[in-house]
This record gives sequence, structure tokens and C-alpha cells, in this order.
Amino acid sequence: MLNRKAITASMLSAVLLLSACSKGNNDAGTDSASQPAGNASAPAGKKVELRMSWWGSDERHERTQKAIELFEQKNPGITITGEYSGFDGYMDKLNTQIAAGNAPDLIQMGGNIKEYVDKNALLDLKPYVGGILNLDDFNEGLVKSATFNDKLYGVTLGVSSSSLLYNASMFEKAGVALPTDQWTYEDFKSSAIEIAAKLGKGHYGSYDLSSDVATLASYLGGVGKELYRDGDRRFEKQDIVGWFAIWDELRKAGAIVPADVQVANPPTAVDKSLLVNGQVAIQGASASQIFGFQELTQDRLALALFPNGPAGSGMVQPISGQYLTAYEGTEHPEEVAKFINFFVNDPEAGVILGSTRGVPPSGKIRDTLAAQSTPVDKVLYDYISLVSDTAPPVVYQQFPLDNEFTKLLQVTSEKIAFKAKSIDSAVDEFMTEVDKLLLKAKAQ
Amino acid sequence: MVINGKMFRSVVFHALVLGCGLIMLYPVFWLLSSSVKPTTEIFTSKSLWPTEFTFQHYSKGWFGLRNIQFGRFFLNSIYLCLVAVIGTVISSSMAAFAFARIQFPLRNLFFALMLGTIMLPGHVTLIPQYIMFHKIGWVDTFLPLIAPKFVGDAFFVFLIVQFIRGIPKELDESAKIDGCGWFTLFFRIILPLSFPALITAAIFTFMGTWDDFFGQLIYLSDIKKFTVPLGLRLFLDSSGSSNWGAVFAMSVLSILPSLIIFFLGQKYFTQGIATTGLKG
Amino acid sequence: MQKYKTYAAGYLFLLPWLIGFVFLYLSPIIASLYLSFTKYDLLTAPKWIGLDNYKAMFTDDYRLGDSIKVTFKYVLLSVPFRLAFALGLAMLLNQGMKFLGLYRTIYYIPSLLGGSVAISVLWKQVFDKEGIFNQAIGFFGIEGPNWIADPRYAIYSLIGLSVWQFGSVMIIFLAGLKQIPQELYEAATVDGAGIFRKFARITMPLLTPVIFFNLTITLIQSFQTFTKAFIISGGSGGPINSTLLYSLYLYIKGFTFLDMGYASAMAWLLLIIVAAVTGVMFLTSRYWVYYSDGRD
Repeated sequence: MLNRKAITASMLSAVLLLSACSKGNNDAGTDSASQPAGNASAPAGKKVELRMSWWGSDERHERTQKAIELFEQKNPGITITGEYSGFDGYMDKLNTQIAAGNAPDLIQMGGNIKEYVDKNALLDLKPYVGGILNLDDFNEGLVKSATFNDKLYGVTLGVSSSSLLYNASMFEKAGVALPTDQWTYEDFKSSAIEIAAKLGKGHYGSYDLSSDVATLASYLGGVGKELYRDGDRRFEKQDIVGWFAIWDELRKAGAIVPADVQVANPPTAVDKSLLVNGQVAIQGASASQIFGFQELTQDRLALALFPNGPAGSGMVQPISGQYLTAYEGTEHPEEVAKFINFFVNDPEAGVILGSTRGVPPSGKIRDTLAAQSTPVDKVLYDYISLVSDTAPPVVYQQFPLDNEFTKLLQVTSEKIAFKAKSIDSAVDEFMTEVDKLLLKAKAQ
Repeated sequence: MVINGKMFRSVVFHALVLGCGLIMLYPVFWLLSSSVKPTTEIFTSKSLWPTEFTFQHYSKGWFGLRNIQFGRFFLNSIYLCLVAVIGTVISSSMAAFAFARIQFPLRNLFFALMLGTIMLPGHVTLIPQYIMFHKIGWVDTFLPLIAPKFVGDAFFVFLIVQFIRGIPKELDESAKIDGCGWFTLFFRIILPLSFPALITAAIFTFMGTWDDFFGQLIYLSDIKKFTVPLGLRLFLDSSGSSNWGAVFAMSVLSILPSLIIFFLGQKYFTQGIATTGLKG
Repeated sequence: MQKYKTYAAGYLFLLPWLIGFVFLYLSPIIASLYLSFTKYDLLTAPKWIGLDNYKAMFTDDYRLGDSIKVTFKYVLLSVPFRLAFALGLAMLLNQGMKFLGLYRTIYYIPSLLGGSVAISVLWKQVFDKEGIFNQAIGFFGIEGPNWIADPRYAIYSLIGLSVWQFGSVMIIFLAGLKQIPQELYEAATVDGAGIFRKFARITMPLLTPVIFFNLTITLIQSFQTFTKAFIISGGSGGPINSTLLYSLYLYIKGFTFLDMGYASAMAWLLLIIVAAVTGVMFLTSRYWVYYSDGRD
């Protein structure tokens, strides 16, 4: 990770490895407005009004609105009304709107896109690809991740990846070597134990990641298993027992955050994480979240890969953090496709949007942004390219009924951490419930 | 009244009441202090006293949103709350009067049904209700939030019923002997005598409407119609980065209207009926 | 004739509510009853499955059992404390004394924060392991647990939050106290009654309608408490489902797991439970609630 810092200049071309089918980057780096792709203006006299919903914080709202204004300028006749809010309740509102047949034409979607595809709530964009919608600059994997049954249901807005977010200043203070690209669970354990020991009471090497689905998935990859593929789980009871044993060992050594402290200060909530006040050195996070964390602390934060297992790296290829999707019931599919195209391909829009939704998926836009990236941007870009180099070329399959699975893992982890159950009996219960979930998913 | 021992006791008493009150307000002080702390200090420093005062969060929160100022959200919220207060007080007191004073068939059944409406968790009627409002074109207007207030809220109807039933019925009888109809009785006797309850209902309606995040979130989409709770959430992306400084600063401001309403309103219900009533 | 005129007056005053009930409430309520017999994921049309949701609730959902237990614990502990606290302070703050308005406002401020987003962060400042509460009891040499995060205690921090926000109940008590005619006390003073006799003979009996109201409403509301548990546990009901109040679980089922049919069935079960409790309250009320209007 360290020596990677040295080559930040070439980081974006490294990211470009992501986009195998990228058309190269010769004409990038300009924000001349000369070529708004697919920008034939709407037929005169026809006013089209679209609605677009997204979640985010004030900065994302501002940038998105600016981009929309630019689009409206370039496309007289189309107006887009933003319906934006924080994340709280976003999905609830969307579900309500879909239930009433009143959803916005353009919808920002998260990792649960498949659920909405299965329920036929989203529009197939395939007919527009190559015409109005240009995805030539997109890496195949990113397009695939929104392709189901040979139909395309969304366009990636930002690339991210699961990661270990760490407080580099704490490592330095404790005199512990920073994580390397090759580190193993043994390295992880010894670093965590050492940091906790050196920094003293109230300081921990790591959060308890036993409840983190992404970390578990990578662990299973590292031992030659998988979380899920094609209707079945691809792990056994002893794999999960082994998983919880690692965290149990660390817990006993005082190297990870005790259960009660973790619940009170969950790493998933940026404002409560103990990473920002220098009490915990490592936590799991989606890589693009580093912006939110870094804002709250003077310490230097960085990103590391999940540790390797005996079968090598279990990292998952970079994923689409967010998609822009179209509502199945939209009356103006063409204008919607046109806007999506603008949103991800227009160089000016790219500059306006920056990396507010993760690393931009289009190679050209990434090159444009390279010139003006901040140090945190660089850490993120660097990391994403590292992941795409390291992760095995397997298409990751999410566990079905993702929300229920996540909750199940969390409760299991809490039962063990709070000593309400032994590892063995908690895992037994976990396996039973997992199989129930699989049955339920099949029945749907 | 002024005896030394008594004075001492009174000082101790005031100190206790004030002291306990201030302890209870600790979280509020924390909120206040966080709203003027530099961002990096909010979650990393334990001290209530900021190392440096900044009013940046206030200006970012108020002016920081594109094409809209936070003031707009305040106006919307105030408008919504005032209409809600008027609607609730009128409709609830009417229904309460019927339930408490007038004998008519099915009265108890209706009262039970009314209480039933607040026993069913709102989350399951939300979707059908939304679909209904969508069909009549009310979504993204204030109407779905206002109309129910003009129906009368079971909570307040029940509250006012209890107060009306605390008024001796002899008053009704004597009024009737004087030739008063139901309307005169309602307006001239019952309403003035249940004034504390009405003020209470008004204050609670104001605050409940002010705080109702979920309903407003579901029904309002256009940012120009956003209210304060929705405006606050604009700074909060729990899945990514949040502007907590602005959230705290605007939270402080968002408490003010309710605080002012309460402070002014409580004068009225402390007067009681001994001075306001019995003139009718 | 006079009788029908009275009926007409009754329905006339009830008209706004009747219209609203029929047009705004009735159809969503019936819809939710219908949905409770379906499988409904919000995104596609509901499918009729008969009693399956109700069967599943009683046979195949251990979390529901946990959730009901937690909810009863919450209700049984928070309601009495909240009421006692509120009544005590209302009586205290009902005396004629200086700075009354200020004190009332101070004690009411916590309720103003209501379901504010800031509450989750604020509450942590108080009840975390190193929070102000533990620092305070640390003075007396007690080492407190992590009140919000230990599954054994998390529900108590929730109860604490509910008691802390006793303001609205207090206000209703205050309004009730104010409704008691001052003349009665004056007359009693003339008769030589002391504070305690006045309390037992005047305050208590005349306050019973308001006590009854507060008790009933607080019960109904406590059974449905959602926002507090949602905010404090970050929507999870954790740790280990220890704060998984009934309404929170219902919300998770309906909106997160997209099983609105099941959530609707849960809602109707809750309705039955709450209605039964409220019914009992009304039945007993005739023995202890005193109405000045002479009706029972």
C-alpha cells in the first residue's frame, strides 16, 4: 500500500485496467463542452418533465442539482425535478411510491437492485445501449453487475469496494507496520493485538468484524469457499465456526472492540465510529465512505485489502456502489436514457459530480478528474485499482434476501460476543436459519 | 409569609428544582455546544466547551443548500403546524363535545372505533392511504398531512372528553333552562371551561406536526414544500457522509418555535378555569 | 321529538369525525386487514394466502416471541414511572411560586426533542459506558454498565428515554390540576383541612379522569413505541433483539424485509392485544374514575 502511494500519478491508468474495453483515454482530460454525447435536442414543442430521486448529504445534493441544471441547459424541453433526501426513509418512500405506481422516472439504487429487478420495478435499458446510451467507456464487469437475464437494469454511478478502513496514524503511533497487500489473518491478528497492547486501555486493534458480511465473504474466499452461488450456500458449519473462532481469540486477547462498546459505537455509522477519535485502528467499510470518515478526524485514514487465507485472496472485484436506474412505469424512456448517458459520460457533468458517489465508472471521466483529485480521492482510486488487480476474476453473487441474511449474521455475532451462546450452538442456529432463508428465496 | 426558615427552604427548593432540570438538560447543552464546535471536534472531544467557536454550521445549514434556504422549510413547517392546530382544535372539540355531553345511538361504538384508529400501527395503513391519496392527486401537496387534522385526532378527542366530563353537568342544565341550544352551550360554556385542554391540544398538535418526519417524508417530494424534519435529513446520509455540524445547528433552531409556543402557551393553561370560566 | 333533535345535534357535532373516518381511515384499515391474509411485497400485487401469516406468527417466528416479551417489559416499566414522574412534577410545579414558567419549560424541553435525529447521538452521550450517567453514579463508587449497548440493560435505556420525555404527560396533568376549581380548596381550608386531606379528598378524585386518560393513552402509545427504539438502536432492535419493540419488528418485516402481508397480520394481533388492555381499563374505570358530570 505504501509504495503505491508513490505512483499516484499513474493511479488512474491503473484504475483503467478495470475497464478492459475502454476505448482508451486520448481525448480525455478536457472539460470543453463541445461534445455532449447523444445530445439531439427534444422535438420542438414537446415538454418533457422527469423526476429523479436520490439520497445523500448536502454536498451530493448540490453537485447533482448542478449537473441536472447543466443537462436542462443543453436539452431545452426537458426538465428534471429532483426528489432528494438523506438515506433515512429513502427506501421506504421509494417502496411506497412503487406500490402506488408513482415512482420517479430516474431512481438512484443501491446494492439491492436485484430485488427490484425480480419484482419488475425497473426498466430494461438494453434497447438504448449503443444508441442513446453509450457504455463503451465502461468496464464489462460493471455492466454485467446490472445485467440480469440479458437485460440491463441500471448504470453504475460510482465504483466502490468492500475494504478495511484503517487509522494509519494509530499504526504509526503504536509502531506497528501498516497492512500490506499480502497480509494474512495471522498478520491481522498480531497487528491488532500489538496496537491494543501498545496504545493501552480503551484502544483496540480492530472492530469485531465477525458480523460484517463483506469480511465474511472474503474470508470464505480465502479458505476456498464462497458465500453463495446459484441457489445454494457454498460453506459448511466448520467454516463459520472457524470464522467466529478467529474473532473469539482476538476478543479474549483484548484486541478487538468489546461487544457492548461496539453496539454503542457501531462502525457503520460514521458519526459513532471509534476510528475517527483514534480508539480503534481497523474497521470494515465501503471504500468510498472514506470521505465521510476523513472529514471528522485529523488522523490519516487509509484503506487495506482483507487478509489472505490459505487459498489466497478472497477479495471481491470492485462493485457498483450505486446505480442510476429507470422506473418501469416511466412515460419517457428515451429522455431517461438520454439523461443517464449524460450523467455518466458528459465530461462537464463528470467534473461537477466528482467522486461523490464513488469512483466514476467511465474511464474518460476518471482521467478528467485525475488532475484535480484530493489526497483522499487518491487513496480511494489507488485502492480500487489495487482491488481490481488482486481480486480473483469471479462474479460475486450476493446472498439472496440480503437484508435478512445481514441481520441474521449480526444477531449470531452478538450472541457469541455477549456470551449469550457458545460458538457451536450459535452457529448451529445460524446454519438452520440460513437454510430456511434459502428455501424462502427459492419459493419466491 | 416571609419567615426566615421559609426563605431558606425556598432557596433550597429552587436550587433543587433548577439543578435537577439542568442535569436533565445535559443532552441539550451537548447539542448546543456541538453546533458551534469545529467539525473535527464534535465527536472527538468530550468537553462541552469548544476550543474555538464557529458559526459556520449555522450559515452552512441555513444558506448551504442549492436553490433553497432553510428558512423556507421553517415557513412550510409553521404553515403546516398552524393549519393543523386550527383543524385539530375545531374538529376534536366538536367530536369531544358530542361524545361527552350528547346522548345519541351508537355513541359508544363510535368512541371505541375512534380509539381503535390509534391502536393499529400506522405503518400498515400507510401504503393503502398513500395509494388513496395518490388516486385523488394529493401526493406532493400538504393536503394528505392537513386533511386528517380536520377529522379530529382520537388522542385529543379523548383528552377533551375527559376534561368536559370534569365540568359539572348542572351548568348544562341551567343553561338549558335559560333557553340555550346545543351550540350556545358548546361555544359559551363548554369551550371556555375546557380552555386548558384546548391549549394543551393546540400545543401538542403543533409539536407533533412539527416532528412528524415519516408522514412528511412520504407525502412531500418537491424540495420547495420540504419541512424542517425533511430539511434536517438533507444533511444526513447515514450510508455515507453526513454534515453533522449543520444537523446540530439546524436542530437547535428547529426547537425554537416549539419552545416559544410552549413558553407562551403555558401562561394560558396555568390561569385555569377559576378566572377564565364561569362567566357564561 | 326532543329526542331526535338531540340525536341530530350529536351527529352534527360528530360529523367532521364521521366523514373523516369513512373517507380517510376506513378504507386503509380494511385494506390492511385484507393484506394480512396475503403475501404482499409492495412491489408486486398481493397474493391471497389465507391464514398463513397468522399461522406463521404462532408457529415459525421465535423473534416475534422475543419481541412481545421485550414490548411488555417496556410497557410495564415505562408507563408507571412516566406517570409517577409526571404527576409528581406537575403537582410540584402547580404551586404558586417564582420562576414557574421557566421551570415548566426546562422540564418540558426534553420532550421537545421528541424524535429528533439528534437524539441518538445525544442519548449516547448520557448512557454510554463513559457517559455522564455512569460518571455520576461513579461518584458513589458504582461502576455502571454500558446502558445502551448491553443486551441485559439496553431496554432500560429505552425506558429511561421514555421517562425522560415525561413532559407531555406532565402538561396534561397540569391542565387537569388547573381545572379543579380553586373555590373547593378555599372551602376546605375554611373547614380546616390540611394538605393531605385536600389531596385525598379534592385533588385525587377530581384528577381521576385525567389520570385515566394519561394511563390509557400512555399504554396505547407505549405498546406502539417505534421512533425511540428505531433511533436508539439504529433501526436494528439490537443488541440481540433486546430493543426489538413490536412496532419496530413490524416495520422491519414490512419495509426492510418487504413482507407487508405479514406485517399487517402483526398489526392486527397488536390491535387485539391493545384493545383488550384498553377494554379492561375502561371496565375498571367505573370503579375508580370520578366524573363531575355524574355519568359513568
